Amino acid sequence: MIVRPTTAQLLRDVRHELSEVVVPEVHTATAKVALEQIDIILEQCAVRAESEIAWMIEEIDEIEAYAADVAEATGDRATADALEAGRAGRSGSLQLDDLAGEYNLMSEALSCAIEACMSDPAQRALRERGVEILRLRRAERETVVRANWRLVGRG
Amino acid sequence: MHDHEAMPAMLADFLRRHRDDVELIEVTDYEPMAGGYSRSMAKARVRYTSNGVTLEETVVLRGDPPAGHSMIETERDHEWAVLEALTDLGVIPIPAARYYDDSGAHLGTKAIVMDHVAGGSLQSLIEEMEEFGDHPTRLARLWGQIHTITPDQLPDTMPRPASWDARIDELIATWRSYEGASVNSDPTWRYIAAWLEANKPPPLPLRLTHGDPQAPNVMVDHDDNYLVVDWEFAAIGDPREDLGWYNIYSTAAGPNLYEADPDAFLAAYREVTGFGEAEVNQLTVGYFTVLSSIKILGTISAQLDKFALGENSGVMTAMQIGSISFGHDNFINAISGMQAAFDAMAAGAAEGASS
Repeated sequence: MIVRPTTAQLLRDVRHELSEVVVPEVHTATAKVALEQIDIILEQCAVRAESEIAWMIEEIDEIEAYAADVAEATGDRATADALEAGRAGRSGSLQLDDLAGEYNLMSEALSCAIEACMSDPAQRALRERGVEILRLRRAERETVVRANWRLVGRG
Repeated sequence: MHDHEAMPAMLADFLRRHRDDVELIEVTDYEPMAGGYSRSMAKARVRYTSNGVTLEETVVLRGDPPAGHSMIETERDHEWAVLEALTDLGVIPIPAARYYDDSGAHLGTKAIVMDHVAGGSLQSLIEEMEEFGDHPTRLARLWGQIHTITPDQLPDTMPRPASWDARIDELIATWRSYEGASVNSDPTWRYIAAWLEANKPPPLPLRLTHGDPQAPNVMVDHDDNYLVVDWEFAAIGDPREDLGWYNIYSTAAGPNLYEADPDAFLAAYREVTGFGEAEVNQLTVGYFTVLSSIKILGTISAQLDKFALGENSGVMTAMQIGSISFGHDNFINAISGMQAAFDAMAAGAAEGASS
């Protein structure tokens, strides 16, 4: 399997070709907007292709440790059940579809854990730890994935 | 509307059904418009001839996109009912809504024909400005004008929440229901719902809400008048839902005329509506910035789910992954900011009580 150029490099090359060769030949407003949107999506695909598997694995591990701490501190049944389902779902497969399924299962454990902390004022520190996972893992990485995203063609 | 070659003849035939006072109707130009994210938009040049006199005008068509290509699903029947009611009321400046093909039999899809506004959108106007002049307070007053309309002035077909609490609870539950139905598990949405439930603001009377108030949905004609378009999300709700949605949308696609000077913006808004500062302030706008976003993000999420399941497609829909993730980032930060303000107020109150 030829792995270099990487998927991200190929996608960025397509972007370049579109912007340098195709866009100058396009003259209708709706087609120009569509091409600008396609460019944004191609860059987002390139960013995801580079990192999304590693990011999901890291986050799954972090959520598992967090949900276990919440389940122990609160005795919350929903968190414990979701954590158990998340652990049972871990297959070790690196296939994207398998991993996305595992990520979803563990994400449910994170939801339940934060909800358990929200309903118990004594668990504020644990709640804030959960929110930091949302901020530092999800939100910051999603910001990277958004790349050059903007609401093209509005107004 | 989607067969651009056939549309001039179809539109002329449709207009003839409504204009038996005119001898000849011709559509001389038909052009799809960019800028309509949720609906298909087009403008057409129409020539009317009667008794040897010829007049021309431009009209705008607004219809449903082709099946399987919707970024957002909304009801044209609802939008038409709202437009008819607003036209009768005459309180809100809108481009006149002329005719409605309520079955799609004539225009190929359910579509509304309305006046064309010669001018441009407020968005395109302020994008070019370094100083916004009186546009922030004019916009605040415009939103305020919408929020003076009470439920009894609106069509019976519009759902009426049983109470303010029922409306807020419904919106909070909507965060959870979209998340629960999605192919993606979303802990941020679940956290948002839990936080909103624990931190409700003081109530306001229920009023007409536009549902998608943003500068691209305000047209500015050549006489500098504002006209509000795109009423597909209109509902009866808390007026601050609109202030919140305006704030988050304009943060994503600026300039944000609220953020430029929130106190002045809100003062102008309160002046028109008569609402008090305890109910309309930066913290309550922050709360509704988060809460109300589900009305549009929810339907976007549902369309992305369909995309993932192979039931929908389109670059416009794919682009909205960015809208969802932009919301994640902003809502987490907004909630953190509001929580810090509430904590500071609680600490201040505790200190006052102990001294």
